[in-house]
Amino acid sequence: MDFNKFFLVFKREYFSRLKSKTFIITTILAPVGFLMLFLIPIAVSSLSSERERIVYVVDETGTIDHRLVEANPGLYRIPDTTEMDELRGEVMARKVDAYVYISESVITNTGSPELVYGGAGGLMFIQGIRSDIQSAVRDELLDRSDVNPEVREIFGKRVGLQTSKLTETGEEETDTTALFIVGLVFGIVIYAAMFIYGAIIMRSVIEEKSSRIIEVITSAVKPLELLLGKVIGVGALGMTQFLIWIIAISGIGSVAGMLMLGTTPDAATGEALEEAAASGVSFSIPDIGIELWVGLLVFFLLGYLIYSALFAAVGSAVESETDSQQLTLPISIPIIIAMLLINHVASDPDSTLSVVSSMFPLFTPMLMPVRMAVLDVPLWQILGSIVLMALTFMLLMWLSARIYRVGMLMYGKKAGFRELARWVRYSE
Amino acid sequence: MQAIHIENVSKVFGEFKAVDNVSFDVRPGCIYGILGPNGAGKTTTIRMINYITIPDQGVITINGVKAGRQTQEIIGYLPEERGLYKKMKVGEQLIYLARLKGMKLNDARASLKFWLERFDAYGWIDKEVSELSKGMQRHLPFQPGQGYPGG
Repeated sequence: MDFNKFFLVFKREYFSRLKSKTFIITTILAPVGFLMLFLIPIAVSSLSSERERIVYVVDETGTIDHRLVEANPGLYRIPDTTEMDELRGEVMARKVDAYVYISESVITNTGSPELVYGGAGGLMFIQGIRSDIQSAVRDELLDRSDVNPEVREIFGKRVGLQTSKLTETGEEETDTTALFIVGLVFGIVIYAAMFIYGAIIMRSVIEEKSSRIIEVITSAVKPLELLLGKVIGVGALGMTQFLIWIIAISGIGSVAGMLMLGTTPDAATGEALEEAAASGVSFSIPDIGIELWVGLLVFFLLGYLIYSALFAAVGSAVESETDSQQLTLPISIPIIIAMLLINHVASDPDSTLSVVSSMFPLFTPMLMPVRMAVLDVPLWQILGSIVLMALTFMLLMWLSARIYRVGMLMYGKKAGFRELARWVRYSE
Repeated sequence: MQAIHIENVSKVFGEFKAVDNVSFDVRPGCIYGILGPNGAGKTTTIRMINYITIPDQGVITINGVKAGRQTQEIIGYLPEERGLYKKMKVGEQLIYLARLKGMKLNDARASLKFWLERFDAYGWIDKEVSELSKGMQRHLPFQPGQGYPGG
């Protein structure tokens, strides 16, 4: 292993990409995309809440409808007609968004109110109506049974849930829903990065092979030097990109946090805060600790090293990207399986399945950062998984280099898995 | 002393015998051609001379030195199938290839200037390869092949 030659390759792979338009554009656009991820839902919710919706209330009992109108005069109206066909007609013509039919049986607790809506409906919309009717029916029942005001107050009471996590160092107030989302985002980012950076390596190997420059290069550099220079050069590029993003996202995160507070001015009132707490909606952006960012970087890097070795081997065996499909499939499968496990791992990070799968070296890069986001992963698990990944990398790098040195000079025939296995056993 | 000395060289890929007990010498200062049908082992032999692959049996020496990393640096190898990085500037590319061949940065720069001027191609130095015509591209790999002292 000639370190000078490795370093020359490394420098070319790193700097030629660092200066490229693609790198600059993706580095800028990704945090913008991340910002959109936060801002679009806010924009959508503020836009959609501006649209006036109308719901007709048809009430056989004659006691619920005025309560609903009182609760939200903008939304609920009492129609002039109680003819079902006419109401249906108005919903179908989109003059109103929906109508609610409340029969006598709703009060006697033997039937349910009916909601008939046109258009898209929407989960929040239906949820809102359900909770309004529930309150109205409850109030009506309370009135009928003539309970005293104290009991009534008890029923009206709303309880918010304040969550905090107790760490070894003492109490720490955190928002676990937000950390859950952070975990998911980390998992998804690494998942995408494995494919994106794997494809960069694979394309780079294919380019050298299909442009035939490889023949000139190998008359000066050993395959292992070339492969390591390439893999580590692109890895350094990835680390650079991740570092830029982490800095940018931390910055944007704090700006977005301020913007979000700005868009909900009534959040300042205690009532609205209580409301938000009760409905489980949280606008706060969690504080992502330094250990978590370091974990993200380390597991990205190790995962990248493992998968790039595999993608490089595939790249050396084909002459164009279109031929690579069949060979990349077995590499994609573990990445995709890890992706399918992410939700389970984020919601139940202590389960045996989560612990074992996050320690499995091919899954670790996607799953361990998820667990680190939602709980304090025991140190032995983190260190153990790092050791396992390092060993896996060395084994796969050795295998890949043996495939690569044969594949990169082999033209004209399409290699299958059996062929690749044979190449591993070839002498130099 | 022979420029290239090849003695009883064989190379096997799995079951396939690519080169079977080949011996020949190339005298200094001569132009030497190897002819043969497809699959005769020409490319594999030349790759072994360049230490791209290593013989299973036999000996190859260049100027009396066993083929290896050292001899790689004194051979200018211009394969029939050759190419360049399309997205890299001509100057950067040639310096990169020359440095892989073991040249110092300053020597590589001087040599690059000399040869590009000689071919009246100094104006290409900051162009990407993809901007050059096919004919222009063919000139370029010649340069690193020539660009070592004594080449």
